[in-house]
Amino acid sequence: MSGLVYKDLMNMRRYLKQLLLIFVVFVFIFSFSGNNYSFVAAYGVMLSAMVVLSSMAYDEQAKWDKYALTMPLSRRSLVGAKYLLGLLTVGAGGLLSLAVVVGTALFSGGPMTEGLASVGACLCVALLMQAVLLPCLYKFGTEKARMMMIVIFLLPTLGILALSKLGLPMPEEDFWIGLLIALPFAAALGYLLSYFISVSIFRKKEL
Amino acid sequence: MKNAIEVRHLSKQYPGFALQDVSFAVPCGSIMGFVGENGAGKTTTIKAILGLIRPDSGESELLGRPMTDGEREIKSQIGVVFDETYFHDNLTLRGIDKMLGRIYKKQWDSGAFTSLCGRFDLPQGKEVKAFSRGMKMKLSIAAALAHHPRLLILDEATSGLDPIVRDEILDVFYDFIQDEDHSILFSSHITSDLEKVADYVTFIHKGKIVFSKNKDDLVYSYGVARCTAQQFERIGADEYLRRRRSAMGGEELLVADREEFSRRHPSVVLDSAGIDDIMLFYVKGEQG
Repeated sequence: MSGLVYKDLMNMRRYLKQLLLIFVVFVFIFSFSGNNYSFVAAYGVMLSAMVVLSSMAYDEQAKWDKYALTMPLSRRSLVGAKYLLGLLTVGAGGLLSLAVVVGTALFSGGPMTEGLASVGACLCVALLMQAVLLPCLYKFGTEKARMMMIVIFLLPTLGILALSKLGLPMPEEDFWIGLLIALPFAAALGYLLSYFISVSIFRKKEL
Repeated sequence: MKNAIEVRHLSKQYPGFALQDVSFAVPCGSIMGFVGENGAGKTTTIKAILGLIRPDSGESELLGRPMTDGEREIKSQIGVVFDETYFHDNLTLRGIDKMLGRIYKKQWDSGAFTSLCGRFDLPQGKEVKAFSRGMKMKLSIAAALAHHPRLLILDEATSGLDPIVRDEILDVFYDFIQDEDHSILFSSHITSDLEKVADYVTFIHKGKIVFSKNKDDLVYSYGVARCTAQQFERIGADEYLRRRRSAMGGEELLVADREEFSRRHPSVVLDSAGIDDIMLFYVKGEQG
């Protein structure tokens, strides 16, 4: 399985450097424009959530899965390597964002707690997004899943927008804190469940 | 273990195409040529053997075991080359070496990989996307051999390559088969390659196996009889396998036993039949 993760990182080394550069430029621009560092954190984590999705597209283009399955690898380990890559890249994105948030809090006195909560929440949301998208990618392929991806990114935004238009009272602070505590558990459970769903989809796939 | 590959009654239904009751065996220590026109079912059969698709019925064994009995162990002893390379565009030889080292673990022979790449003149440091088609195929072959498999499965591994590259590759297969524990299943529609190296030939046509025979028997006993319309009238329908009209207006017949036929019809012109001829008779000709 480590061989598969190594392959993805090697193959996407230039792409990863580009993502990193985009993030650095973003941080740089934002450092001139106020103290909205929670947004920077969110951006960093979301960028890193794209990596595993791109790696699926590369694999499909190269017809890699068909070839990899002639090697001493099971279908389960192919799926497992993708979920591991997802964890690693989102984790790396989270660490970078964390460094930015902590750094600015220490040097320019930004809001530390808010920043940390923001990075943590984004990490969980990124994992949940992967948890929804990866089974779709295994089931429908990257071409069709691209549309779904847009929908999945848009739905929460539209939902929140609709809620605010309806003029419902904003929930109390306790609700948000409860949500923050529940999120990591939801993310962990969702990711694990998603892995088993992907394995069962990929087991039946004809290559 | 007698057979490196054994396929029994494999069937798989697709819209517009079906594998029907495919059975054959690759004896240990031999090269089996697997021939048939494009779309005859060669790749589908190989995919079913490798567990990439699920057959509707039938079973297959690799190295004496069904794939369900120790998938990893079986697959660590086979090398597979498809008709194109499936390595990612941005990888280099070094990256591929490291990756496969992690996948095959102790079995991976990095030195053997490097020396095969050297023998094939593959460029160090370049990425796969800059490789020519011939280089890509040689890379796939080097990758398939460097973990010292006992069985090679080649699906159109030489098609689309020039004769010089094909010859180089055939040489490598020849070296591989010197070990009598080694076997090769070699699917191709380039019959001249098979005539050079194969011990046995299995012929598939429209998803069905037409025959699976020793190549020497085929080449020495099969023949093409060329006769005029009058001569044809004296030949019984059970004396030939397939017939087809020749360009000159006469009849051409595929006969299974050349000597026997020439004893009965000494006046008919009789040539030996290559694998090409035999394929043509089955694909284009009519039943005897």
